[in-house]
Amino acid sequence: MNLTTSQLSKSIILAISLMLMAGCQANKTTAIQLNEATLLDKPFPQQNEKQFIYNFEDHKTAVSEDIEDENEAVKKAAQKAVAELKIKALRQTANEINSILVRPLSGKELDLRIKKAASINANFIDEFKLLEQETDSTQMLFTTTRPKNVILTGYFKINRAALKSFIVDTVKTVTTSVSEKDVLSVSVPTSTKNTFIASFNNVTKRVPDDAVNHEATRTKLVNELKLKAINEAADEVNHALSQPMDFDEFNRAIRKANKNFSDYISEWKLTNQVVDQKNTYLGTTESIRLSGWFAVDKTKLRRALVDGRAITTVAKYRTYVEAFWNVEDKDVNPEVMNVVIGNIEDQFSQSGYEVVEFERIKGDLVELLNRDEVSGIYSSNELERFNANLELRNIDSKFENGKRILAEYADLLIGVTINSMEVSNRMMKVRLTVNATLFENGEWMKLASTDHTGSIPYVRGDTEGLIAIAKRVALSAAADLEKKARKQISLRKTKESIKLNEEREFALVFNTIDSNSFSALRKTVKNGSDWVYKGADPKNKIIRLGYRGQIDGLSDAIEDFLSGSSLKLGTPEFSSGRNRIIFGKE
Amino acid sequence: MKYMFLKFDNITKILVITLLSVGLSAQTFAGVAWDKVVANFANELVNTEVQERRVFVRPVADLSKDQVYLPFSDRIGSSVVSSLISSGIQITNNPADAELYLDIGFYQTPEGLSLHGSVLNQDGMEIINNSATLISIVLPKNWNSRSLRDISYEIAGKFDEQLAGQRVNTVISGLTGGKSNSDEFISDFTVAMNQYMVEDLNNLPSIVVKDKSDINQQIYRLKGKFRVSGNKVNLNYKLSKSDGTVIATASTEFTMSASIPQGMSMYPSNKNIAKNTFDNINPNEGNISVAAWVNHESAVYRDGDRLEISIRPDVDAYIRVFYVTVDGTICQIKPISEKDSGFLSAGTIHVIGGKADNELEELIITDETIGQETIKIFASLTPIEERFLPIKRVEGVDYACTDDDYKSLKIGMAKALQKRRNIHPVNEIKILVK
Repeated sequence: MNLTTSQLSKSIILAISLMLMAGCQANKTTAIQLNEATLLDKPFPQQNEKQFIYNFEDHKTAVSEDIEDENEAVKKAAQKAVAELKIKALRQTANEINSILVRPLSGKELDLRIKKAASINANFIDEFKLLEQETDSTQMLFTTTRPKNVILTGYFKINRAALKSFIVDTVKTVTTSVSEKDVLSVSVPTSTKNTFIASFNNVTKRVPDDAVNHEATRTKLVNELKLKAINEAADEVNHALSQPMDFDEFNRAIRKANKNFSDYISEWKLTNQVVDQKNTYLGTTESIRLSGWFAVDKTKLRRALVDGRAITTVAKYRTYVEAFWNVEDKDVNPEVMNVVIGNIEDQFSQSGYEVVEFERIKGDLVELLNRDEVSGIYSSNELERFNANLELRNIDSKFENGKRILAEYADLLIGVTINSMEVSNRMMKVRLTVNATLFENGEWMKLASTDHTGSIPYVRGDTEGLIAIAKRVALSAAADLEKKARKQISLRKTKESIKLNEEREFALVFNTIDSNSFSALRKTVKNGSDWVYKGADPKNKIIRLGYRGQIDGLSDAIEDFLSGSSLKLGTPEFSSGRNRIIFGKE
Repeated sequence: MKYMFLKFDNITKILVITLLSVGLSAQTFAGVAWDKVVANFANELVNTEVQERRVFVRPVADLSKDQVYLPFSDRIGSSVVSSLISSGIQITNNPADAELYLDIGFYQTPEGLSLHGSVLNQDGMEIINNSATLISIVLPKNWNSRSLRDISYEIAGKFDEQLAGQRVNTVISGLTGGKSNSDEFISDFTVAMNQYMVEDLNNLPSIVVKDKSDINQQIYRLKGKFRVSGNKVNLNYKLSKSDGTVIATASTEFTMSASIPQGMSMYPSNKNIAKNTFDNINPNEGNISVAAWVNHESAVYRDGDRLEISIRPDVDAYIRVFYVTVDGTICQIKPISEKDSGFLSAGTIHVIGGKADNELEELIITDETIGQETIKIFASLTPIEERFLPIKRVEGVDYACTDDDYKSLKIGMAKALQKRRNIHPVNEIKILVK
């Protein structure tokens, strides 16, 4: 009875179910009995060193409605799903590989590689398995609807090494014909004062795919390196000179220098030259890899750059050296003096300044003086002749209008004073002071000054040591001064551009006129239109004016303005570094 | 003495033999021991820090204020250099090439020599120092002796140190001296020293020894004075400008017995007579300067030598030249003729006794008397009237002489110039007749 009842009950339930299914869509739910042990036993494999595991679960791909044959449509959808999953698998694997590379590929490059890897028939996938493959067709009472999606669950096992070797090209190095001598001679010489060494290590250039051989590429690479070497040397020359430069002229001069490279490259050597062959999935590529060095003659290059007007700034400063002997109780030592002057001139010349040599202007200077004043330079006595020349060299102190005469020959005046030269504690000591004065806007402006001392053991009868220490001190002082002066010059350029546009106050000093004349002069000057009258100091016979422009301009304007006056004012003279014009010397 | 001791008991014998052995060992040991001490001293100074760098070893010098030159110091220097080379130290002879300087000096002490050494960097800063003592017993015999040549070398070196870096044209006026400050004797000693000094100074770049006839205005004068006090001789040299400004001095002291060779005299044989002619020289008396020199640079004349005296006034002047002989006789050798006023034009060189001297045939030195003789030169811008001078003309002799002494001549000279004050020669030359 119980059995019949239970069977009947089952039938009733089934009938009700069918009735319900016939009238409406029913969700198919199935009670399941989960087994914990099965759950622990994961269906997906584990990641390992050799393989990257890409899992996918319930991956849905739409089944095309355009394909009439349902089975064909499901098959196509499944293929599409697998293709998508494969790319995803490869991408995830590739990303992981790329993240640990020394030189990771860019995102774009990596993407291209992944697509390529997916498209080629390469053996990146060790295993592909579908754990579940379903469709989501709807079960009606008597029929099943056409599935909308293919639902896949499974995994890919991607071979890490295979994919990595595809992403990162493997390189095979082929050593080409290089003599043992060249290979062994890998030491690169060091740059010196006159030579710049440009060294290159493992610089590569790809050999074009259609190249017959790699010789042309190698020549091209050497030429590129040569140009780079000249460029680097030029940069260093320019840096040493610290000049503002014209980039167009600079590049033009370098190109010219490169054409005549043999004039500038004194020596060069390739210490290593190899052809790298890269075997990739795209085929084999070749690159030339070179190491070596070029020695560039900086002196010649500097000359070329200056001649080519690529560098002009300090070269335009005509530099003149005045020298003074201020050693108490000691007569001038011509050798020491010559060494000091020579080395200071060299130092400035090396730094790109145009050094005005005394011998070049000596004739002009002699003509400015009467014969008695220069008789010493023709003396048969060597020391007397030296002293007379030294006196003549020091234009500022030798000539009444020394500063004006000096300005005709130089823009930058270097004053060297040897202050002491003595033996103290058995050490020969030399001390000298050097200063730089710039002629700018009609005035001599003090730029910089420095004091240097050097010593060397005193050895009886030894003059070489003295000369050596004099040279050492002169060079260090000149280098220090040049650095300071250069800085001041660059600062002055900015200051000056501001200053010239501003009104400055100048003092006119009239030493030779009496009080009445000064009073008349003051009234006259007051009416001048080129300047602004600021006031006067009758006691010291000074008139103060405001003027926009250079001091020589004001001096000329005053002279022109007063040319009709009966007053004898004398020659105007500018005082160094001060806005002061002194009238009073005939 | 040894045999006497042998008569004593055995203990005494042993003691004597031991003492003798020690004495012998010390003597034998002395020849080599000092340089071992020096080698150890040098190697202790130059430690591992120094070893990689080039070292210049300065000449070993006396660190006392006297700055005495001991020839033995050169041997110490050589020993230092050779021991350092043996130890692998890079030694350079050029201080400009050196990275370090080894400076070794000494003090003379009653015990011997005290050595002091320092290693200096290029800035002259001391990095390491060390000292050692060389006791007399290990030093070689005569380690502290020096000859006249060494003394001259020392004096020249002292001038070089003061003049380092310049070149001074110098005329050597010579060395004179005696027991008192006013003594101006010349002798074999001064002649030798003059010769050594010229040689040593000519080896230095700082001094150029010029001939006395050099007309360069920028000429300096080196004059030496010696003073004898017991066995000690003090030497003092001064280098002066033409206006008398002293620009450098050098002095030293030595013992006669150790440095003066046997037979070399310190004084001339006519010491007492020559003493009467000493006078202060005023190079610019009456604003006249007269250069004077003789034809023998050494100022030594022997029998038969011809004497030529050259004089050159710097302004037009009236000149009187007197010759004071060994026995004190004074004769006027310029001018000869009574009619001659003695006028000489500025800058002209007049040679007395020269071939072109029309007045005086020649001056020939004889060895009848030997010793110090002096040529005195007086000058005036106005004529010097001969009638006031105590000289008499002797028939048959070219020149006028006087039996009076030098003092009488000076009194006469003051009268002739109508001066009440003492008149001094503008120059004088001392010669030694041998």
